[in-house]
Amino acid sequence: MPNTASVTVEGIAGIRACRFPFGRGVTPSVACVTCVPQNANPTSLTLTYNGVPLHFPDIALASSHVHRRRDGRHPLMRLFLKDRRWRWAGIRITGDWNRRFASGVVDPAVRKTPAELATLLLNRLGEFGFDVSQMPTGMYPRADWHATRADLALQKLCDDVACEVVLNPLTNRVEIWPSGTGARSATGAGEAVRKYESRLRSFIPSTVTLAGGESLYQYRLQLQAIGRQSNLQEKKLSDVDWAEDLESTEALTFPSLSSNELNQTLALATAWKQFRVSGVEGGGLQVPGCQTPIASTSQYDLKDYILYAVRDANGLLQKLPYYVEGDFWPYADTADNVSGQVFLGSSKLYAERGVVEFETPVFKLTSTGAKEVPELYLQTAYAVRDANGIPQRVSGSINVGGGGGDLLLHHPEIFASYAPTGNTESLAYAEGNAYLAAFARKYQDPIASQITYPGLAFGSLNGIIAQVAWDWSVVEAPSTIVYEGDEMDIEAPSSLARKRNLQVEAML
Amino acid sequence: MIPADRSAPFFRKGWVRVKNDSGAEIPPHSVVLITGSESTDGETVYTVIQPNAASTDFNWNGYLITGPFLIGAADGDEGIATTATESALARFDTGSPALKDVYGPKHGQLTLSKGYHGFEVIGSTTTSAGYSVVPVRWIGVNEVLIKNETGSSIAAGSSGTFNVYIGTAGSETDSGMDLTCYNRSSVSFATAKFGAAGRLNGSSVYGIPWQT
Repeated sequence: MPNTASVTVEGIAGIRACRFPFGRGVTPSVACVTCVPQNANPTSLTLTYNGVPLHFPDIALASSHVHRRRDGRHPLMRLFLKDRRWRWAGIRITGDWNRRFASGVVDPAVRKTPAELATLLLNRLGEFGFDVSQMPTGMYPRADWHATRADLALQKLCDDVACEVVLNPLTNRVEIWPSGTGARSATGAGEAVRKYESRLRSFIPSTVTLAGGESLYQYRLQLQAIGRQSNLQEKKLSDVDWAEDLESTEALTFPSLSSNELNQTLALATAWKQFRVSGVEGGGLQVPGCQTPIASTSQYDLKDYILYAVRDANGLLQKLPYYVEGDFWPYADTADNVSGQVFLGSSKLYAERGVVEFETPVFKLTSTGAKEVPELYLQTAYAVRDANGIPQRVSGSINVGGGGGDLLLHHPEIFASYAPTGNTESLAYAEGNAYLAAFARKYQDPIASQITYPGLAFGSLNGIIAQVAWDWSVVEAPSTIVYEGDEMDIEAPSSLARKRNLQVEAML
Repeated sequence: MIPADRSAPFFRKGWVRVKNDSGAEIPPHSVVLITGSESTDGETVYTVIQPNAASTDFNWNGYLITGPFLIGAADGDEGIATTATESALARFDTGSPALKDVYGPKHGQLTLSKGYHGFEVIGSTTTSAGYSVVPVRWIGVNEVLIKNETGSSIAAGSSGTFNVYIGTAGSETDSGMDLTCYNRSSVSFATAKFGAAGRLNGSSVYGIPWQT
């Protein structure tokens, strides 16, 4: 039968066969070329069918070995050739993109869409003429690269936004395709083996769930003066067992307690120095805008920073610490209290206890100079947990109909913040929904398939066509297998195996 | 804005701990008289009373100005005070203190009074805890005007009790405080005559007649 197909490898003679499963991703695909034994230093591979060439420049020899044949005929050599993506592994990139303010909003100064991040990476990989125009929008994946391998960063980016890296052999250019999009392999085109479809249920999740970060609130929290009484229990200051002996004129020393050294020690350590969160400003426990019922202050998960950030000398955003404000005597010369002022003295926040401890006693003075309880409020960010300890967070879920359980998209950088000046809930949910939409598209038609065409059929991969395997030898007719849905060729690593290897490489 | 940390005005002053022995509340910014001290947990705590509450004796020193806190009347109630060698806000009884005016403790009250001895006004009046207060500094007492109102002369080389006079020169009045002085001059200190008294040789008080 006339063979109108051929395979040439520059610098290699006597090629007997070639099998080339060509797939998506950042790792090179490997062609297996069988030839007569020889010294080998190949640089390019060309498949030709009916006079049309498909050229793979800049290949690299991964391995070679000669094997003796049991029928006594001359030995053969097998060459394993990587496509030009082998060069990507040695290239590193540094950058810091999509940092966020303490409120969760992306800093406009460093905001990059997935396409912009891919552009940075592909430029760094030495690519040009690439196409990232189809990448999804509305999400801002965190990119904190410190001499990071650019190929691994590109794969992670595409995995995060449900895209595929395609090296188009027809144009020798890189394209980024959204998973689940693109033309399907043609049928009724004289295929040698018809298309057989399969449903890889175990690889298709039943649901895709987005888990964002904890929602954060910043409504002023009321502080209540506390003390530690003789059994070491913490109580409201007026309720501790030694409080009845306390004079309204005492705050710096407690001579009225001098007859009981333990009580005096506890008073010196805690009275007017420790204040705990008792609820939100104005009374009550319920935080404005929070849907979770709050029955206890223990449901407030206090942070030690506020929902505001400033740029330091290097232009980096720095969170600002919590602070206390209110009405108190500011250790002035006069006995006048301040009102609504920030307390600039030293304090420490014990977040898990909801307690602020001041270095020096904090109190107000009455019109006659006696001590009284100050009116203090804590300004800090806090999450709210439900009765089971689960924090309120941005979340969403879609059904995709598989049997593979729940696919969790963990995005702690996406969270809503709520403050009297406004909230970022709509922004956070918009970004979260963009991720869900990308994965809904990926799994919208989860059919895998395989079809075999006669000869060497040349085309490109996309978001649906995952792999093409060209098979040529001197003794058989050439064929092309096209796989949709996943890389299922048995003579190449699966996409799952490839990505697991990449994760291991990322740790090295 | 006052930072309320260790750099706040309160912490830049040298406060001492005082215990109220007067039996009544001591309002903020009061002048008090030290009557003794005790050591409490290694810290010296001064016992204070209202000036000249126990007697009419003139005191050359031993005064403190209390801080911006009320000191309670109960037995053992404590507060803070300063010697005011740099400055302190002090209450005054009447008038409008002016810069460089001399004010001092007056028998039977916790406020400073003009013309009495010991404190110099170094600033302008302000308010604190509803009181009018003025910055003062302790300048000490070098010499006081005295008058022999015993009814008889105090001979040279003998001691006697003199009344301390204060006020505008030429129209001085009795301050209500008295002072035992030694007449070391060679002349008798006649009754109803004025002189001066000063503390020399440590704590010895000498009076000399200006009039014969």
